[in-house]
Amino acid sequence: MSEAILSATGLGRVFKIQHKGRKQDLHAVTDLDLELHTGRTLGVVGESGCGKTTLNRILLLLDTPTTGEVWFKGKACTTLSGEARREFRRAVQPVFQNPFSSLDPRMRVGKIIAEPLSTITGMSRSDIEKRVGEVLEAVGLQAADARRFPNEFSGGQRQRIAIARAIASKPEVLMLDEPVSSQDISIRAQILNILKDLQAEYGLGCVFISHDLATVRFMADDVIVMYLGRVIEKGTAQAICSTPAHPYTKALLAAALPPDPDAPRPELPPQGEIPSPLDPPSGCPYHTRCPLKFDRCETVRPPMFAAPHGGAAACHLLDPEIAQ
Amino acid sequence: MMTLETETPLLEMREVSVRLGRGAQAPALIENIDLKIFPGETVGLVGESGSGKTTLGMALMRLLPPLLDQGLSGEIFYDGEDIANLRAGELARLRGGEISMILQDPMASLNPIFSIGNQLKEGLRLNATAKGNLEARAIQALESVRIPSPKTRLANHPHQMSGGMRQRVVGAISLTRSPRLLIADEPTTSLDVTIQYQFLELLKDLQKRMRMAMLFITHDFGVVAKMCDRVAVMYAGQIVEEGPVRDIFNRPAHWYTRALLESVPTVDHAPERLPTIPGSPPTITGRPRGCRFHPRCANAQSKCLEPPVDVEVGAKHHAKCWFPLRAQRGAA
Repeated sequence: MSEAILSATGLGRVFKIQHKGRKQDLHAVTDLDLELHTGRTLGVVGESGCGKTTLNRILLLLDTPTTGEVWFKGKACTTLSGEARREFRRAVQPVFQNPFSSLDPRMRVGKIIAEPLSTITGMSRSDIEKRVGEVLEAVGLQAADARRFPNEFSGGQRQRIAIARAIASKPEVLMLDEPVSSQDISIRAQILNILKDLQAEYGLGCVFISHDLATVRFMADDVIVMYLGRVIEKGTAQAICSTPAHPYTKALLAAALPPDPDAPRPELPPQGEIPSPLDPPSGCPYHTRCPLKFDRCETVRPPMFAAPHGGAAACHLLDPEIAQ
Repeated sequence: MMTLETETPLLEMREVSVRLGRGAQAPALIENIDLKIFPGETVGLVGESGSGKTTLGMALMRLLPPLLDQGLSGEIFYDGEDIANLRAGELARLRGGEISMILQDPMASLNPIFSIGNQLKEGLRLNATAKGNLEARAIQALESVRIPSPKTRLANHPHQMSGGMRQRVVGAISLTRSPRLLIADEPTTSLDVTIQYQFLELLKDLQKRMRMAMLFITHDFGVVAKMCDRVAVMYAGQIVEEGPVRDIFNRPAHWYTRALLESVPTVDHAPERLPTIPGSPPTITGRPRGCRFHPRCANAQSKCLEPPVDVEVGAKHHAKCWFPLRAQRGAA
């Protein structure tokens, strides 16, 4: 496969926080590797506290990792400055979850979309105006909508505006953090289709962050599953959603309720609470909730083992020595 | 649980509307709602935001803000009594006792400055049979929602608990007086998916044990499929289709229901594109005449400019559509 457009190696982020009067380390992301290729979508799945939002911020260079490095087209990024950093901003654009807070209510739509164009790309005014009209039409709105304010649009239309802004600078990577979670169900499919179309048209690499496996199945080619800051399983979207190897992924799959009243009861239903990332369990981070745990899980953290679906998962049950 | 023909409904709404003002022409949040809930069954109320599902739940409890409460018309029979005409004192007897409620955000339901023991006992005190040993009853209530070490948890304040645990505490509080009807308004929307699953299992289990009826308000078809016996689909203030859960999923009659079901991605397969419904739901003042879905409907015809009548499309299955679908989903 070609060289990754965006990748991360050994990524870690520790927040120093004061908790109950004590100074503590919160390991939001630990030892994370990922690779994103042009024209492909990497799904990142996980629940609260799994570190997916911190990961998003680091990959956007909005936060600096404590350890590890972000690579864009083979160049180390965390120390970029000046012109190189600006080029990164042009090439890697975010779409956030809530278009009610990600669009400035006092700016006209045209200005919202044009702002990054003038600050990052330094395009001329007439070029910018033309580009604003183009991207608005690309997301199913009209060029004339540039004169209106965000409050004149519905939630779905606002998310389209946010997407238009993201693609205006002709980026190569889109970082999508739960882009449809705040949308109504009849609107979700519209937004997901637009994202998929844009990706195909411009050959974008996308990172799609979500808690919902069904949406990830639709959007992503490859998936990483995160739990308490670590990747616990990776594979193709099809493999993760049909033959997951890690008990946590199985629980996530069971919790993705199918729209079918006669769906069979899941094999491994989820149980237990998500532990606090401030006080992560010893050994395997999932052992406190795992129905299949055995003594080793409490003490030894499993490394990634090859999984039958061709990907990998961090579970002792996949250890070839144990399987024998 | 299937309902028997002979059973009388625990709750029956007849032509219930909530209008912004008193006149029949005033814009309506919900309009001409007919809905029955039988003892022990779960009725799902699905719809998008602005469809009126929360307004309907609030109207049932007479918890609408005063201005909207004045715009309430129609009859709401609970156990033979018309809630729509009750005075404040009589309502207080029903609320929390006969009919209880779980809302979306447990942090907004619980009082942040009182311990959860305190908030549990407040409800227990109202229950005549529970007087005496409040502490023991409170511990029991927490045990019933599977909260570990309930005794120490009584002293906790809401912020010391996780979201899932808080919602279970809200559940415990709303069930202290053994209600016969529980209105659950998006009770799991703020929870993580694995926590949502466990809460739904718990709720189902408690319902079975207490023989309680439930109105489950949600926008999530997966949750409906798991929880409900019957489903009412709302669009723009009206119930556009209602029927047994299997019929709604396998043989939807309204074009809106089918289009909505088809637009939901599933983990089983990834199509190239998802089928979509064009446009977005109308606002309260911008509702189209005739069938309210017709501007977005794939099968809209000139007839659809007239308000559709409710037609029977199967056993206890009806839809407000001039051209209801009759085939199995996927076969058409």
